[in-house]
Amino acid sequence: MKNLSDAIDYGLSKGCNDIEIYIEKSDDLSIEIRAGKIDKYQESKSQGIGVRVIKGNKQSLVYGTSDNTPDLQKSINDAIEIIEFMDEDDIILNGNEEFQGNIDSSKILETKFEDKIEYLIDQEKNGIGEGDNKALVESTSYEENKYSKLIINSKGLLKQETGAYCGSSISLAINKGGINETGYAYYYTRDMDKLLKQRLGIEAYEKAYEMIGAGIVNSKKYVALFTPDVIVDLLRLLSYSFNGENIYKGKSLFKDKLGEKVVSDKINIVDNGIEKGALGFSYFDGEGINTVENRIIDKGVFLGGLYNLSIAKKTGLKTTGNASRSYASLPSVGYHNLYIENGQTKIDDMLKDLNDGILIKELMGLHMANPITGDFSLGASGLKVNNGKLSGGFRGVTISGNILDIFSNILAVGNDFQRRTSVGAPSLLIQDVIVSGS
Amino acid sequence: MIEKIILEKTMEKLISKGCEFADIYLESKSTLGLVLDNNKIERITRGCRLGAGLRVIYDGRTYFAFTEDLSEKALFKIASDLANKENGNNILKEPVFNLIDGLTDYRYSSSIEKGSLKEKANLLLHLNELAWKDKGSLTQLTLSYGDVDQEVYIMNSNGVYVHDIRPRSKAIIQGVFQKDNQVQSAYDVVGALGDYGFIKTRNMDELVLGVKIKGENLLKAKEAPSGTMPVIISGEAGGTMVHEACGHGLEADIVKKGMSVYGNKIGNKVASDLITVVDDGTIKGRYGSSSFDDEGTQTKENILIENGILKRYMSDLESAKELKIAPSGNGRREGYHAIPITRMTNTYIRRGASNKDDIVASVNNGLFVKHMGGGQVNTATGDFVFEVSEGYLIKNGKIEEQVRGATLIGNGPEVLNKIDMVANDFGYSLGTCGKDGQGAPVADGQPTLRIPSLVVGGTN
Repeated sequence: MKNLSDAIDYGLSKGCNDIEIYIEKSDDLSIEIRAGKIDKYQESKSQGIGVRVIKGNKQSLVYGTSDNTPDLQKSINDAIEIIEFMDEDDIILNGNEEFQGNIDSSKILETKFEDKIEYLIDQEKNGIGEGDNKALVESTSYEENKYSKLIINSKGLLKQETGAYCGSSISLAINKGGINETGYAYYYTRDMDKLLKQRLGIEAYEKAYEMIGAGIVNSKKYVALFTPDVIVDLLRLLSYSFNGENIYKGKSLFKDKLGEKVVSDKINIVDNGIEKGALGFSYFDGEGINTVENRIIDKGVFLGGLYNLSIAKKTGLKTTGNASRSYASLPSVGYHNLYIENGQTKIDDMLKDLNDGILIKELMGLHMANPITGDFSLGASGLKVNNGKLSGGFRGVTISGNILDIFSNILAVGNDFQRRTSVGAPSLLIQDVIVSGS
Repeated sequence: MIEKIILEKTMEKLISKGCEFADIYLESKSTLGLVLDNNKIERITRGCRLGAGLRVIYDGRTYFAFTEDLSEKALFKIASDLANKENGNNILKEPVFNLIDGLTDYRYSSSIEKGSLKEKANLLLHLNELAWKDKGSLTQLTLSYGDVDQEVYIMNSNGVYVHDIRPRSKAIIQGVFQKDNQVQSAYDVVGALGDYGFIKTRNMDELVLGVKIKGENLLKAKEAPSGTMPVIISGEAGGTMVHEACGHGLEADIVKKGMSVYGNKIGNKVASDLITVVDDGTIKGRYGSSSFDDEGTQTKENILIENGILKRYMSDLESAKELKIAPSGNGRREGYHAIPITRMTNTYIRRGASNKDDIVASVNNGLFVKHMGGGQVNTATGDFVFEVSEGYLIKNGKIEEQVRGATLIGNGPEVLNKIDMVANDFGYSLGTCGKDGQGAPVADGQPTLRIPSLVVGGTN
């Protein structure tokens, strides 16, 4: 720690107003098995150090992988050189606060290596399946990450957090009549017990199995049931518009929409950085501000976006504790633990009344959607629904429209909330979904 | 970065327990990034990552670790730990290492022109001023410039010991345009295997003005149609389609796992006679070029599909061994922290004999794709999607009004078999390709070609 406070003193002695140092360290393990044996094994320790320098109303950042004194001093000197070319900005640092917290994830590290391998072998076996329609499992993997982050600055801020998470994924294909159908499943969590309960092999196998013999559907507007996985994809797309920086710069669908109804009143969206146990939980954000629960959309009404210190200052608002950061970047804005709240409707009840409808299980090309306009046209696949019954798969079609229309045309919200990473959602039943097929 | 003797001793430890293969990848990557947004130079970030990735393979099983601590002690410990993961019975011949330097010929220019920070900042400021003069419907502009200086040493148990320096530079222009209640965004990018000297040779003013024209036109464009129709993809459009529709499926690491539609099809007809697909990591200045791949294999021109017949796969060392094919120089990695996998470099469809205008004249009612955006493929099924960033309707053999918001969806092998006209023109695009969580710089190209029927997913 002395090397860090020395570096801060060094920067101040060079005429900087403030210095902030952000350090990330991680210990990673990843294992991939094939045919019941280890195929790839990876174990690593890494660290990164970002030095943020503030001089006048300007700031810059230089990063590196070493925290020894000469390297830190070099980073500061480089940052001072860069700062000359920067434009002035609203810069605020958090200060006078000390904190040290650990997010308990001891079970991950205590669980025996053999048990982790056994879990993978089990998933792979289930993924292969039985009988005539055996699947080819591409990979079954487990990973865990033990991390620490530290932020220290010349305003008296010193915060540290340690924690860990783990996750697993499996991908496979069933070949039927020369045509492959693929299935994929994954789950990331801070809770080892939860991971060990996931039947990822079965889930991936079923995804592929259901698609055997899939065809195309007719072009028209459908009533469609979207699975939680697909809603999570669409929520990620929408999240661009919650970002306070995008709102400030006019790149958000919710610019000037504060207090207005923007989507269906059946929808509540929350970013809850303080939800203990969630993968996205953290005690403090990238500027050392304590995280809180932020309600973004309540009954369809936009309550406000997510902000860090400097964007909040520009807009006359308060930070929401959403500074996002890696050691290689200046603070930006990001969500922690984002979700659409669970609903009341049973999935069977949603399917019951569906005739000539579709169940959308996967989208393709999500990175191609335009988050600024909300327009999208994406590849889609899933199952046909006739007279309330699932009746075979479809693929090779696109769904298109605008993300706001999708979230406005909601008929029902499912009671099947699901979270595989730091974003979660229930199923949604949506009308007027434009499908291009045959 | 590290003395040869230390690398040799580390290698000795890696192979001491009878593995079949081991390698050391030592990398220093310095980056500089400038972002001008909202009329301000908002971010300048500089940094350097230095580290080593060590790997041993026992009968196809890979053990990998990386470290930023390059001390003798740390390297030896990691090497011993990795070696001790198994006890093999391979006896490797004591390799003799002679350093080979990578060629500089593949860079855009052999002269070095790093450019000062001041020059780069001034370029962005100049382009910003230019864009806002007669601003039209422009409401937001983001200009970014980035360069990377990557230096690698690669040593492996086959006696490979190479050194390669890969400077890359890239500039991106993104504009948001608004008129009445319409918002559209437009984008362009240039980049190369080359330093700032490359950017200096580009007409950046034209690029910025081009993005403005694109944005204004998109505001006027109507919504794209939906349905199945003939599609012409222009040579200007770049090669997203070849990359997605067949490139990924020809990567040997995917093939060996049985997850490619092109698996076990060498010698088979997999595309129309008019189609020849090439991956070539040696093209001067192209974004995906380098002298060696990240396993120290020399890059080269690989003909993957010739006149419709599948000739070979791209491969890294391990998948080449498993499939019993020659390594093609496509073993690439994002950095020292990642295991090498099979990746494309610069991938393209060779030009054909038709005239572009004749191709357009042959379509009564269809879509003309002038520029493509991103895409995605499921290699096991061959299903792909890609984005049309600039498209026009074709009516009675003529290019008519512009449409926006179109996505093309199809199946790789099906589409490649259907292509029935290939022009004698050619164009390239560049991008960062993502696979297994690793990004790699690539370029893709193609001539103008006709697909007689394809599903167009528009918003109308």
